[in-house]
Amino acid sequence: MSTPVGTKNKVAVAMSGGVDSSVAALLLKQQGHDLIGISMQVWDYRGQGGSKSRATCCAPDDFADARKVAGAIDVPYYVFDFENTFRAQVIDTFVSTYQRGMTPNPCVECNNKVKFRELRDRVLGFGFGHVATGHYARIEERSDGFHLLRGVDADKDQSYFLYGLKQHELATTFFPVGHLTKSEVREVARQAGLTTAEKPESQDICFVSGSVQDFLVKLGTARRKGNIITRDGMKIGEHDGIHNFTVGQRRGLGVGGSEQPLYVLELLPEQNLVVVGAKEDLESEGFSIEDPSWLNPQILRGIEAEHFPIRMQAIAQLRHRHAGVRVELQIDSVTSAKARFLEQWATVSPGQAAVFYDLDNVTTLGGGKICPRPHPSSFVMAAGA
Amino acid sequence: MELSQSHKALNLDANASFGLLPEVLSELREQFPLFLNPSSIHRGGQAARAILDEARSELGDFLGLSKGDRIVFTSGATESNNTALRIPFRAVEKDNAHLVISAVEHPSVLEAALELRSRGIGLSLLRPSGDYTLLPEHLTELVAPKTKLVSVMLANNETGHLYPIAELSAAARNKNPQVLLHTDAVQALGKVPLRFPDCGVDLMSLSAHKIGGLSGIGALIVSENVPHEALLFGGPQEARWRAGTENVVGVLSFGIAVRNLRKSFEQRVLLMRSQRDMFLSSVTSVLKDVRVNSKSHGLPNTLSLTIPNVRADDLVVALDMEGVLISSGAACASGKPEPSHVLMALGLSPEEARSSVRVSFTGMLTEQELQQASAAFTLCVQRMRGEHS
Repeated sequence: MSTPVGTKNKVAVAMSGGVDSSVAALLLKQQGHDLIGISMQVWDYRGQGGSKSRATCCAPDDFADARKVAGAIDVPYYVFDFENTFRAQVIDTFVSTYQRGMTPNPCVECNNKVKFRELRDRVLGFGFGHVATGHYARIEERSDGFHLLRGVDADKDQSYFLYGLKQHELATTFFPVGHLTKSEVREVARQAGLTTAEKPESQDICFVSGSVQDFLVKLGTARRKGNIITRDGMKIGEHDGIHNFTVGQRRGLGVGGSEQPLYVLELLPEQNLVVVGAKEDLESEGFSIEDPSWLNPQILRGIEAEHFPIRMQAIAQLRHRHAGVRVELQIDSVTSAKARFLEQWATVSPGQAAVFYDLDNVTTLGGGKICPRPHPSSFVMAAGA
Repeated sequence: MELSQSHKALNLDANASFGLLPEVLSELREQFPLFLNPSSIHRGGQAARAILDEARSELGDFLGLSKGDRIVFTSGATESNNTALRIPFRAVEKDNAHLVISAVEHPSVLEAALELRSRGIGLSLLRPSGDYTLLPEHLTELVAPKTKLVSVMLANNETGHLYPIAELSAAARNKNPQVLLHTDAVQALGKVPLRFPDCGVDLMSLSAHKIGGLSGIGALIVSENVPHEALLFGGPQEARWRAGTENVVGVLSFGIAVRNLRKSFEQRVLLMRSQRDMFLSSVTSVLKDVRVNSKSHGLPNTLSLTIPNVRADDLVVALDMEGVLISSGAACASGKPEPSHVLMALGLSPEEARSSVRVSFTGMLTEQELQQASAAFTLCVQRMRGEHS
């Protein structure tokens, strides 16, 4: 958000202990805002035997880093307990999404429900009206409302995970590092002598310190062996649990003997089947989304006036680090929307977020969760096929 | 964060730490050149030993110790508690040993007891009765021939409740004349009259930083008949009860704090009580639904308050930002998401426990500071409930 110089806000900075949120806090402090730094305790590492992996985030060591940075820039620092909310909104959804044969996106849930909702509500309780994070994204206020833009560093852009923010949330959020590249951020940290300047990034999901499979099993998801079949119902292999697969996946199927590469077409949780086929079979004309959330002011006005269907061309990003493809977006109601590929098709993974951008591929329109494909009758097999 | 920020803050968290008394600091500075090793034969060591002796005598007089009672200086009450719980259980057979503690002990007693249980020693918990006290009759039921030690705190750190230690000790001995009695008197020191012979116990734990001395120094009082035990082995310090070069600075601070206490005990208690009572009446005149979990007969400085619909953790932060220091649950337990085992033992639900804070007074606030603190408390609660812009 381009802050008018001289406006002093009370801002709670979510600090993970990483360099991005460290610099976000530093920049806001330099701009003269009243700050507190907050680390969110979302997961009890003690119960998981401690986090030995440096790939995870928000472990006790990370809090120590956040505290050091907060102390260095003279910002009061606290650790807030969010375990219950995180479990209910993020972890439970994560597990149940896999169980329904889809691939979840926990970072989206966390942003929507925890970081930008519960954190905001709680800090409001002591007079802090703004929230800031180290996300690579930008917020711009234009004549028609607030817009979410991709971060300047295309490689690091995280706008994809932030599509669920609402207008009133954009109005009270800062992304101080969104207009910088990652190397610029590290340089700022170095110049300021922050201890986190060279800290490696957390790559994995913040609460999973091993494989996702092991995590799910530890939380009670049974390893159910089942069959891998083709569209015609022919069994060509076995699997160890459908949650090990994602639609569009090509590697790791454990089936050989086919002339062409095989891709996961569909996961059928009720029958415990993984359906595979050729690449052409993956192709689709488009997809539907559920639980949509729109932040573009024009779209919001259209929805409020119930001018359905709302149609426009857009760029659809279908997973993190996906370049995006041109689609025709059609919003049919408050709760449903669909998209049709205009140039080339892309692999569509149910459960993942589809986020739509203006044709400039910078301004975020909104997004939703990709629905599973309705399958033609040839996929429906008797149990145990 | 600069220290000056915490100095300006008002300490309503006395039970976590009283704060170093200015006169302790100034006397430490004066005596500085004498801090050599008390075990050394030369004059430097002798001077350090003299410091230990004087502090030991100061504390012994204050507690009314008899000649055979020993003061063992430790690194703090946790070490004292851990040592006490070890004493009868070093060389026992499993299944032939039993320990009784109260259900409301500090974690340094509870966790030590649980560790013993994990090694096969039987453990029973004495639970508070309906009016929050611990009954000698209940203790009698729990004590068995195999019971080697009973440990019950004198005053509870979270609620301030005082327990009838003399009666509890008598009841335990009546049932089993061999049993050893230990009391964690950490919170009682400096707040209620405390004399070792009146408690009827063999072992007592104390801590310096609750009365204005340095942290990292405590004591275990050991009566004559207690068999020798130690956690640390090495040199012969503390009559072989606790090896390691004595913490002369710490012990000195303890002695000075006790001396200060002796001079002004009644006045300090009076001030604690009146400040606590004024704070409570000021807050409850506005916040009508605040519930007090402390009985009026308890520590004079402690309040355990349940504030419906308010997260205790957030209130602690909100007040910190106003420069008022309180806590939610015992300081040691803060940061863990589990609600206080003490409050749950008193029958509070987990939600109520998570909405409960502890306010504990040093008695050293000015009148203006006291008003400031109660106004800030009320304002923060109202703001968190959305009742105030």
